[in-house]
This record gives sequence, C-alpha cells and structure tokens, in this order.
Amino acid sequence: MLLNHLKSSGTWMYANGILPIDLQTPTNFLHEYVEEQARKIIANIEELSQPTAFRLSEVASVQIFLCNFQKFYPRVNVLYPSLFEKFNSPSISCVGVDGLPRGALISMNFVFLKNA
Amino acid sequence: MLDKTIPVRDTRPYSGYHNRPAPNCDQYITQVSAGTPGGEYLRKYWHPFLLSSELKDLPVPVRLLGEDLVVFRDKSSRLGLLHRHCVHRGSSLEFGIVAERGIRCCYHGWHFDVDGRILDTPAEPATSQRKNNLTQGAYPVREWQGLIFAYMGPIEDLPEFPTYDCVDHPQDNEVVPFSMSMPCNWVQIVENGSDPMHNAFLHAIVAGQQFSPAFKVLPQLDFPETPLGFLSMATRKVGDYVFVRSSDIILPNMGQFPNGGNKVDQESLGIRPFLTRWAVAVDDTHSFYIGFAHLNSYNKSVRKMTKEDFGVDKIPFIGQTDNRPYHERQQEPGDFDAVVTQGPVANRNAEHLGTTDRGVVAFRRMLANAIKDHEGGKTPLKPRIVKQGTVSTYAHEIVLKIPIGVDLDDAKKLSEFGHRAAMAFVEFDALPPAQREEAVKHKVKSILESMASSS
Repeated sequence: MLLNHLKSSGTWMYANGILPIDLQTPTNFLHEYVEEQARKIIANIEELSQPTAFRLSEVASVQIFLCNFQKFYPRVNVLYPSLFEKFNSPSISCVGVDGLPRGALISMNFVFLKNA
Repeated sequence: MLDKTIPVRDTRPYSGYHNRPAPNCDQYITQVSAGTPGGEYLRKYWHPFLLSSELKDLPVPVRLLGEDLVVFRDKSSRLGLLHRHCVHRGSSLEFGIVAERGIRCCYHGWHFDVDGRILDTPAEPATSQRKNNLTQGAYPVREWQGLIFAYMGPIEDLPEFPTYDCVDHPQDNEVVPFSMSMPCNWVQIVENGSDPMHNAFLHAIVAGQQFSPAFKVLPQLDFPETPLGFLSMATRKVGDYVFVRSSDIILPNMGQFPNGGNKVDQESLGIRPFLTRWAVAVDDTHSFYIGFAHLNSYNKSVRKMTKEDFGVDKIPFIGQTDNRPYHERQQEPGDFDAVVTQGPVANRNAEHLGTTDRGVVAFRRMLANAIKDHEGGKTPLKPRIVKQGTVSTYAHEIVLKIPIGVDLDDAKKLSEFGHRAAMAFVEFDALPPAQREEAVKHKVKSILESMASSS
C-alpha cells in the first residue's frame, strides 16, 4: 500500500506522505522523538525508491510537514546537514500542520527529477 | 500535614458511589510560591533551570517557583536573572536590549545591571534619585556542567554552590545536559524516583520491556539514609547473580539513577549514576526535570546512545513525553504517562499506599520534616561538602556472582546483603571515587563470603 505513495512519469517521480513508520511492520510503534522520526523517513524513502530508477541524489524538492512547529522546527532544522547528506542540495520547505496520520510528528513529500 | 485518618472503605463490589476519592486538600509539601512553607524552603537551595545551550544572545523568559523571570547573558558574558517585568512600568524584559553591562528595558530605556541595580533612567531628569532608591528584583546565577542554576532565597542566606563528585568519574565520563517538561507538581517526579518497584512493573513487566529483562525479577526494597537523603534501593537475585541498584534521593529535589540496561550477566561494581537530575518547579502544577546524562564506556556499553540523543525535551527512553500517538502511549505507557496522570497535583488524600511505597513515604516524611524545621527557623540541611567544594554521592550498581553456600533465595538475607553492600558506599564516601570503588568491592565481597559461612 505504501508504494501507492510513489508515482513516476518519465524523468519525474513523486513520493508523497512518507511517514516514519516501520515499513516491514507498519503497526510497530513510532519513534518518540522528532529527530528519530525524521531519520526514519529518510531511511524509508531510500528503501522505497530502491526498486525504482531514482536515487536520493536525484531528489529535487522536499516538503516537510511538522506538528508543533514552534517546538520542533529548530530541532529538525539543525538536522538538515546529516538528514540530507545523501541528497544533492534539494529545494526544501517546512510547514507546520495540526496533525498527521498515525499520530506522527513529521511527514515528508519528495520530488525526484532525473539529472536534477 | 501527612498524618491522616484512614477512612473506612466500602469493600462491596460496585461501590463506586461509596468510595469516591477524598478531596485534595493537603498541599503542605507541594506548594512552591513565595510565602508558602514549601516555597520558602525550596528557595534556600540552588536550582538548575536552563541548559546553557538554550541561552544565546537574546533574553529568555522563564518561570520558576511561580515567579516570572528573564535570564540573559550580557555582552560582557555575565549572567543575569531578573524579575521579568520592569520595575518602572512593567514591560517584559524579555524584550529588553542586552547591553555591554546588563540589560535595558525597551520601553523607556531603564538600564539594569545583572544584580538588579539601576544604572540609568535616561528619561528622568539628571537630578532624579529614582536609580538610587529602586532596584529590579534579581537572583544570583551560576553555570555548571552545561546548566544554569539560580538561587531565589534571601541573599543573606546564600548557600555555597555545591558541586558533585559524579561528573569526573570514571575518567572517560562526559556529561550531557538535558531537560524534560512535566505538566505536574515537582513532588511527583521525585516520588517516581523514590519508587523502585515501578521499575519492575512500568519498565519491565506490565507496560513493555523498557529496562533489561533482569528488572522483571521482583526486588527486595530498602531505603537507607545517606548524608544527603536516602538511597532508593532494589536488590534482586537474577540467576546466579545478586544485583543491587541504588538511586540517590537528595533533598530537596535532586536524584541520581543508574542505567536501566544492566543485563546482569557479568560481575561489576561501581558508582554508577546514569542520570543526575533535579525536579524543578515552574509553579505548583508544572515542572521539569533537568540535569545531565553520564556518557561513559560503562553506560554506553549497556545502552546504545550518543550525546545527540539528549537535549531539550529529549532523552533516549520511551515514554518521557506526550509526543507519542495517544493509542501508543496507552499500549506502552512510560514515566510521563504514569506520573502526569496522577494529576496536576497528585491527590495524596485519595491514595491507599502499600508496603512497596516505603520510599515514597520516606521522601514525603523527610520533605515535610525539612519544611517544618525551616518554618521553625532551622537552616535547611545542605549537601555535605567533603573535599574541595565537592559533595560525595551514592548511586551505584553491584552485580556479583553468588558464592556456593549463600542462600539468597531467602528474602531477608537478600535484603540484608543489599543494605550492607549499599552502606559500604556511605562508609567510604570520603575516598576519591576510584579508591572508593576498590574499598567497597573488597568490603562487599567479604560481606557475601561471610554470609556463606553463616548460612
């Protein structure tokens, strides 16, 4: 079902609503801290994109959705260098939201572009 | 006060109507505001309230013991902690402009030094005596181990700033600061640390495997007094080993806790705080615990972690915040869920304590007596400084193989061993930590061997 979050067309691929869940056992508990959840999302998108022709270095855009923005934005912001070290300087935006599926604190959308 | 008449309970089934909780009317030990017995007592101690890393070049508003304050570092790197509202017209100094010396109120430019003295009232005539006959309320501040501490009592009673032996031992120890918010009264946080039985149930048996499986073994409890307060002790027989885990409860609000990850599969003995923390009151119904983790080779060997795992509202254990999805908190609750849901101020009149609550009772009694003594004019007991400004502490772990011939299945003997072993850490507390561990090891082994000969 998660693979429905990926949609590709030619040189583009969209990966929306990527959550910090355990892909093998989605019912497992989420990590408690936003830093761990952010890292889990990156691990998930790397794993999800593995069977496709796209790689993290081809991500052109990342949209981050964050609960409790005032509290968590500074904490996520300092993670950017380590979080996106496998990426090729994507365009990143981060917005605060009221709530996310599964009670997650953070979710991300990715846009892949071949030869980005 | 704590003495109360035990109401007669209706023990029939479905007796909810007849057994409603008693009203919560006893706040002697929980109140923190100025003028209350508890609040005045707490004001005689240094309390950490902010991580140094949280204070950058702008002032930070804080609330502490029911008082609204502002902390800042002036451009000469001196720390100031002032009443938040300007003594002139009440504007918040969180919008003050930090100066080379002190801070200047944004509204009319009144300029305050870090000790509250008024340096300048620029809108007033040159002949004005305002700056000489007023001061902004200010409190002394100290910085230690990445934490900022305040003393909020009368300046004439300013106590020596205590430092603790735990930070430099073992040699590779690195302290990493953290703070965690808890929307409840501060006493509940200390009581949680005074209750080693909850480690077995909340952290191992009932709510999930949060500590190592060794914690599933129900322990013998003991709460021996130390020069600082008491030890919150659990002694277990785990397979072929005896396992003693003792946490420091230090009046009024400090505690030190060993790691919950000991697998009890090899012998070891040591002064073993993993967390050193203070439960600090924001006001009667909000608190935070703040302190530092000890990242050394031992603690990292039993629980995988890095210094990045600690910070503001961040420590690497499950269940310390309300950030988790509600249903997951219900499925595997943690300390936050157990402690905060006791209520903003736990209703102690509605409790029915059991034999395993002796540590909670010991803490309440010590605290109530200390507050009462303070009300009666006595100087509160301070940490005992034994050497070069340093206070010896007592949190430790012992894991020893049980010699053949020693029967520690006997609960009384198990408890006796734990007590005597823990007391060895008190007996040798004047020694430097490494020598102290050696002396304790020798003594504890001889205690165990003597139990073999007397079995």
